Amino acid sequence: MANLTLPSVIVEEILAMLPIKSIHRFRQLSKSWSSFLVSSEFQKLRTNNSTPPETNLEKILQCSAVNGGYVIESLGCLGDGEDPVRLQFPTDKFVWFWGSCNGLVCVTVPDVLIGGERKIIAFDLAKEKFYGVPLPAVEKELCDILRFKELGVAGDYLCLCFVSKSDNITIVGLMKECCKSWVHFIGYNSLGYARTYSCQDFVPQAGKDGGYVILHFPGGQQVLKWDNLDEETDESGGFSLNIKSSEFRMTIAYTEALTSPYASP
Amino acid sequence: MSITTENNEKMITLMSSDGEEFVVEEAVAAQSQTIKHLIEDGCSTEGSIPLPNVTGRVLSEVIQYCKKHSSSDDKEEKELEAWDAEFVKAADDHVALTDLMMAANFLDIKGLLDLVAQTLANMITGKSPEEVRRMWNIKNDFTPEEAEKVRKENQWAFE
Repeated sequence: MANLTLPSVIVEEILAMLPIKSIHRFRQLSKSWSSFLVSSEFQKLRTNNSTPPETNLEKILQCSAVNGGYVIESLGCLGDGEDPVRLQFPTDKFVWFWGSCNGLVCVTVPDVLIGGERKIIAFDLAKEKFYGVPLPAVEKELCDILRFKELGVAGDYLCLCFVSKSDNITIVGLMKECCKSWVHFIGYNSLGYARTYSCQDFVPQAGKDGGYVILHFPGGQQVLKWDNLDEETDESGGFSLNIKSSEFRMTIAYTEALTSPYASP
Repeated sequence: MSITTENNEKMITLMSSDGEEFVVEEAVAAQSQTIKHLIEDGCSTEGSIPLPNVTGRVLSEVIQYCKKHSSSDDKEEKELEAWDAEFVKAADDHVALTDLMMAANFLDIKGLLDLVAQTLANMITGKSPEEVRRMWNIKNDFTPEEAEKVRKENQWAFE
């Protein structure tokens, strides 16, 4: 932070109080700010400064079929008898709600392009607004062979599961907060099975200091665990994945009351 | 210099960087952890406590804050919050707030530091990177290509 006229301790205090969206915008300020804003020290500072989140954001979202298309409606909190509110959504296609994480609901749409790019969509509960989340940047060689499989939420991590086309490699991507770039990939090679299958279930769980995913395979299961990792931004270039089109599933997301990953223990 | 008032309240003299002296009750000055430690170490018994990093203008604001907060135990929290809001509103521009924050940092007054940091954070939350660069004189050292890459990565934050 050498190029600042402000002492860095002051700057850090201020930045730690910014909402996540501003933090991302200010990564453009300068190189030193950018690297500071993605550093683990900064994450820790935010942790210490956090105020308990509001808890009045329990909402139920539903995707309903209307006139051959689909709309997304907010039903408000469970049992409060409000009329559904139709939300502005960038598509009339069927969508799948994957879960909620830090006040954001993760949504995928089979073939919506945002700015020419395929994206996962996050819905901000507080603002009732949708944001496009860039798909993870993965090494070019892997792009061709990966299929997007599942997405889930475990504690403060948003987890993404890919499988290779031959179904023998499973890769789990982790995002510390919805809308941030994908930061970690855990590769898993399911050797040991004569015929390899991709995982059948993908149910990420929050653990004490991180999370885990249990991957079920025919004939057994494997547990992938991770700690609360220091974040490093994946520097590889952008790429787009084919989102596997959803089959029909019940599409109601019970969005949990917000819990902040930054709340004091 | 340590003097005592009629109601037996111990008084402390603080001296700003520009030589201005402020006589305050010890309980008020001890809101600052820095000063509290100086008093505990016996530095206040002779003469005044010099505060070389804080100007008189800023110090008077800090003392105003400390007075309010040292006498507020029995007051309603809401009233204190309203007072805090008015207090930072009076400082208004980011230069004055930054000065205040630097003083709060040096004097180690957690409540004031958090209050001003939050005010400044609110001030810049909706601003563009360019506006924030101007506010704090930050040099944009990205090449156009790098800037474009970062912008793209964080595109959602501009929507």
